[in-house]
Amino acid sequence: MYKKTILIVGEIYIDTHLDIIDSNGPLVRLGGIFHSARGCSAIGIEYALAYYAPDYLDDDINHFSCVLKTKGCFKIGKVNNAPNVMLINESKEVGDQGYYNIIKDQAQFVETESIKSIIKKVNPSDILIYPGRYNTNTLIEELKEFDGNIHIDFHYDSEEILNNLGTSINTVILSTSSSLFKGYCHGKLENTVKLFKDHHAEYLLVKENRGGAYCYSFSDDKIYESPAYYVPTMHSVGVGDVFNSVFISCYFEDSFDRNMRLSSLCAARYAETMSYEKFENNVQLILNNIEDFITLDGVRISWEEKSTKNIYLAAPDFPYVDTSLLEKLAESLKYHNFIPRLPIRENGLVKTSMSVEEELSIYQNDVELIHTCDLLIAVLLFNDPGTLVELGMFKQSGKPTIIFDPYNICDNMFVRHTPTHMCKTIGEVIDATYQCLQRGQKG
Amino acid sequence: MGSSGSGRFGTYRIGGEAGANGGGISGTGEVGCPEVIENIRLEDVATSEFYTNNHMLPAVQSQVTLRDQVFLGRLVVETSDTHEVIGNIPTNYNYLLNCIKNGFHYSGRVISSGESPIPFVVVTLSV
Repeated sequence: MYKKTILIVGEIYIDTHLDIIDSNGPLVRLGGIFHSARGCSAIGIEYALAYYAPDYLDDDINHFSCVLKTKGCFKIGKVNNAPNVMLINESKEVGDQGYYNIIKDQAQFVETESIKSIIKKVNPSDILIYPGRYNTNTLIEELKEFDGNIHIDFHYDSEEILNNLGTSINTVILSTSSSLFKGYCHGKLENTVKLFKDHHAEYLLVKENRGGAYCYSFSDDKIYESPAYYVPTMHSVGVGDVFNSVFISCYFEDSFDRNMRLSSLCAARYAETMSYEKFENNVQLILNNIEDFITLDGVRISWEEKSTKNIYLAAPDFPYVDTSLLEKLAESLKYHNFIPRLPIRENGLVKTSMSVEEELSIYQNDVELIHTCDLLIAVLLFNDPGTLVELGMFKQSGKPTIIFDPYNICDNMFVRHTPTHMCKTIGEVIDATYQCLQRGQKG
Repeated sequence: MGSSGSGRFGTYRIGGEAGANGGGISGTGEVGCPEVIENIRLEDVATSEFYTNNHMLPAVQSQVTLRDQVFLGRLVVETSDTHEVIGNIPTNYNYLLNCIKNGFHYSGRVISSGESPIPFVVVTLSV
């Protein structure tokens, strides 16, 4: 392993998981740059923190940074007038997570120590920056003389730093949930490369959620990919930040591919638990059995590939039925860049007043839609005969099928054994969708 | 009027006895290593060792084991006696490698097998 020292710069929050309830109520823990800190600590890389946070958090930050074996924990600035409390409505990222930063607009950032003085104390080989609402112009200005590697995660609050970048970057980091990637770059590699090529970036790392990740090398115009590794997901908060720290650590000096895979493996283990001890043990287990873990197959489907996957949602999508779960599922699939197809909304609803010709036309259009789709999800809001017939027709095509049975009503032997996956929650449906539509998957 | 709120940092524990010993689901939704996995439809049966060597499928009720090492990038189920690979378990069970390396040993039985429409084997595994 390279002897690296990583300085992680950014804000620290209290992550409050409103949907994960333990005996103390909603689960709270330190977030922001602490996620990357946990990744560094678990893999055993030397690192330090340069943080912005409200004063009242200092004791906890110092305590937990010691628990995480940091080389140093420096307060680069204080946050006044706002608590840096992040409410998280949906931890698993089945769809939009609904982050809510309490009274964020009245936060004031006051610098208390310069980054130059922290660099002198830590002597880092690499700096990993998480831009925030603090003054990134000053930060970048002061880093001009830094001769190590600079890596920037452009996930949040990145407009200012993007407009004023005057230094070369080693790694540009993006994820498919960032507005910069989805909005400005339209989710396309060529747009992203165009955006950053003038900043002398060496690498572009794009994390594609449950579909894996890729790293584009600007110098040799080459793409390195890694799959995502499925685990029973407890949460997805900070998982990408763990990927960042393991990736930057360059654990394997001579293999980009292995570094990508190790980053992906460690990120998956982070998603599995809220217990740092369990996470660290699992990372060490990977490192102690690296040859077995590193060769393991995973799920790979790119953001762009997902945008070509049509998913037929078979359901009793009638006006008199509560279809809120169907709509939520369609939204979640869209969030993951798949294309949900709702036949009744596209081709129309058969009415008793219709002629046979009109009815047949709708039937033919629905059948045609079935043929063009890559996956069918049967949503059992009740045992609707139309939904079950569509499931059977699709099954005969040899393509994968999923049953979403939220109310546990599937008691028929034929229906139970027909689908590729049987799911009870939207989270399970999303995971199964990735399994069914991943690259190289046979029907 | 009273109020409610979260306690303090660092109180999270993997919930309940089921979570602590690695099995089941805790109160916070954290999942440990499963004790039983039912009805796993194996993949790539027709191209795996057992079928290509014997031109037949393992009989229902025959004993099988989850191999404790990765084989060609996959976790595989093998016959308990001859150790021939019957098929790959789907990649969504790859997290079991952590369980195996933590000392869990999974074995079980074939519960269904057949040739149509393509050779298939379904197994149930338990610790």
